[in-house]
Amino acid sequence: MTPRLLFLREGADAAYGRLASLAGEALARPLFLALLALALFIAVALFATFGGWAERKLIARIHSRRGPVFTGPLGLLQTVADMLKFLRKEIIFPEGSDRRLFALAPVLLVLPAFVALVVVPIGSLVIASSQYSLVIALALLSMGPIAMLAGAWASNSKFSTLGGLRSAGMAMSYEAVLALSAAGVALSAGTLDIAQIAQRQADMGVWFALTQPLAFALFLIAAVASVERNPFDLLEAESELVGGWKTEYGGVYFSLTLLAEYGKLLVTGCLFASLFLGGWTDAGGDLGFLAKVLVWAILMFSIRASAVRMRMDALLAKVWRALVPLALLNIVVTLGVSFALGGG
Amino acid sequence: MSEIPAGAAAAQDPAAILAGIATPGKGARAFAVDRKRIVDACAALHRAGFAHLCLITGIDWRDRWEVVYHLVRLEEPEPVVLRVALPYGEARIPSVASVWPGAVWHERETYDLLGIVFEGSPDPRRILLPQDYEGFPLRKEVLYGNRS
Amino acid sequence: MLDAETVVSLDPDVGYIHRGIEKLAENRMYFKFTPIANKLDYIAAAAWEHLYISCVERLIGLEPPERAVCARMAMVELQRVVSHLFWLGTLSMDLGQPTIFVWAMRERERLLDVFEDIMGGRMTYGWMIIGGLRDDLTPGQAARILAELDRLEKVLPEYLAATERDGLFRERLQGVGAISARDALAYGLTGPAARASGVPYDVRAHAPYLRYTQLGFRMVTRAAGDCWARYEVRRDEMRESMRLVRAALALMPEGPIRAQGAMTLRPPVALSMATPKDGEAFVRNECPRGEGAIMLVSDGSNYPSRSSRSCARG
Repeated sequence: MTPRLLFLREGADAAYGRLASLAGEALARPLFLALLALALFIAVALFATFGGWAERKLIARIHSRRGPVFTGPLGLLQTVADMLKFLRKEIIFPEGSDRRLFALAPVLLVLPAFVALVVVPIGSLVIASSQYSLVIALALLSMGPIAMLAGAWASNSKFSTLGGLRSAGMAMSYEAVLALSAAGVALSAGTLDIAQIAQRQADMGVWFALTQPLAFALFLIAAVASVERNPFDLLEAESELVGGWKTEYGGVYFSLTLLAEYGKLLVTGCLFASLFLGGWTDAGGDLGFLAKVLVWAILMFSIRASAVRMRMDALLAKVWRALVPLALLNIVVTLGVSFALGGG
Repeated sequence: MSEIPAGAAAAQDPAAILAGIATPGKGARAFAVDRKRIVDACAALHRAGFAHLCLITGIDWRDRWEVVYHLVRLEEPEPVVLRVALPYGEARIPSVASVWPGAVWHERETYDLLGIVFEGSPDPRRILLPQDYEGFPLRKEVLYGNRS
Repeated sequence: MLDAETVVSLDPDVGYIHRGIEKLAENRMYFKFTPIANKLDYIAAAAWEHLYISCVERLIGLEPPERAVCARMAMVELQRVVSHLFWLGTLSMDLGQPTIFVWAMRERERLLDVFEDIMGGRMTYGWMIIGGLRDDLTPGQAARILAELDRLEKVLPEYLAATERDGLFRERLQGVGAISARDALAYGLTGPAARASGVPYDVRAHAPYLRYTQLGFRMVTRAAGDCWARYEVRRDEMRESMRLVRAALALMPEGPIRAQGAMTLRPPVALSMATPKDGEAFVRNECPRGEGAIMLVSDGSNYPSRSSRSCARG
């Protein structure tokens, strides 16, 4: 493929080069990392802003409504306005709550998404490449339930407790499916490095979505669950649980949870694109990668508008009785095929 | 798969069913029942296929109370009306919840608003007003507006 | 009372919107109570307005003219369609699917505009008066109703397909909340919920009023008694109601809309001569949520001595 399509890595390399020439090698590295961190934060914030706008517009059109129209042209600034509103609200700590933990929980939720973006390839750019990037990313994603439980317990409210237990239980179950389906792909590629997995698809000339269809489907389902969208959104089933574990959170903390949600959406989108759709290694390059993440996001939004919420016990039953066995089956078949084809 | 208690004698005339328990009143399907026999009357009608209890209500006639029961048999359009007269100082009547569990809500409402006590009811609480409310608003002695 | 995720027992605390209807009735002349009768169930006001009005008409022995009867029937059945659309929307909302809620509400809005045009209000009316109608149903309005029904009959299958073909939707409803016919009767359950449990009780078939026998009303029942059965009953009732609206409009003859001695909200010429001393009337209607019953007791004056209503439980 033509190198000029890998603008993300090229751009980062060029920027580092300029910085090194300006500030010297010793300073350049930490400075560059700091800049990258800032860029990452801005990227996630922008994704949250415009992704949020896109979601509301798309769902509105499915509803035959117009969505945000008043704030800015086409309502583009709606999320910004909402953020400003949240930031101005009074922070209320529920009576009897554990203040430190209450304040910490949303942060615990947001951090893994950001940190995961350091190891997960964003197009051709991998900020911290590692042989085990898949494991690290999945481990970070599974910190979600811990944050939920912490927030739920710290809130000292029965809605929060019920919601937190539900969310944690559900999230843990689906993380299992996520990990197992990704494991199938990793086994097929022979590596735990996401960048290598993407490269393998280019070498093989075919996407893993086609050679590992079962893992593809399972990952998709589990990812919808991990970003807590319909049909798995019991966490914020307003008609049932008020706000779930987030009930008592207002103002800044609430906006943090929204940021976390879109951060996770971005991470799972990048994972999805790299693991199953060849990432940036095919003809589309980085632009193709971004397009794939966009397709992923639109898919998430559409599913949200059309699916009914699943009942908790039905949900868990489906995971443990159907999805996990299927994921395990996929692993077995993958191993079998690879032994049959190439030995070892 | 309907489990409706089929009136074995669905053609049985209410007057025949209630012979000895109630006396005929105004209208072909209206009967006056003594307070002590209301449960028997309801049970007899229920056995004969009057499966649907439509309404239990009370009337304050200023010199007496009256509790009115409307019972419906699915095979006939006209309900049977049972009327029980109670002396004004004694607003008590046995509950028919043993015949229709759903009677409880009708009785609770009649107690709540008029103060007629349904003895033996499995749930004698008020239903609409707060539990610590004092008085019975629908009684004629409670004045509201320009009348009653 | 919860056992993990299962509700083990329940104690409903009701009465927050009771408003003392019966006491209000005792303090208003018969024709002034109509707006309050509407508010007995503001989602299906036409049905309860008709229930009250027909009860007063029974009390004083006044028959409304044929044109009024057919027009009332059309509006009562159209109200049933509107009430069931509301049900469809809120059902989806409760299941976590706001899309169908928005679609159902949109269809309902169009019919509410029709109500405003004909009856004077979107949700509560005051259009039926004792002895007839306040205003006539013009041919233009009738044509508008038919046009709206045509449109609804085209789009409703689309929405229903979205729900029925959705496996998750079915899974949430099938086998959930089953009520046996015996329990339904024992606890006084009426309306679509009772019919979904196999109880063949619909006042329109049982003790017909308006012109149901003439227009061949078909009762809808199911046997399973679960949420899915209740869904099916209401869905089929919507279709039957749309048919009845068309039939009622077709049946409506030319003629007066008020009987002799009809009572309007403008000061009447003579009022008390009509109400009998020691008169009593008990009327039942099939309101969209269940059976509605009103009992009126008169002492010969312009005011009811006692009014009692049985709320629809369904």
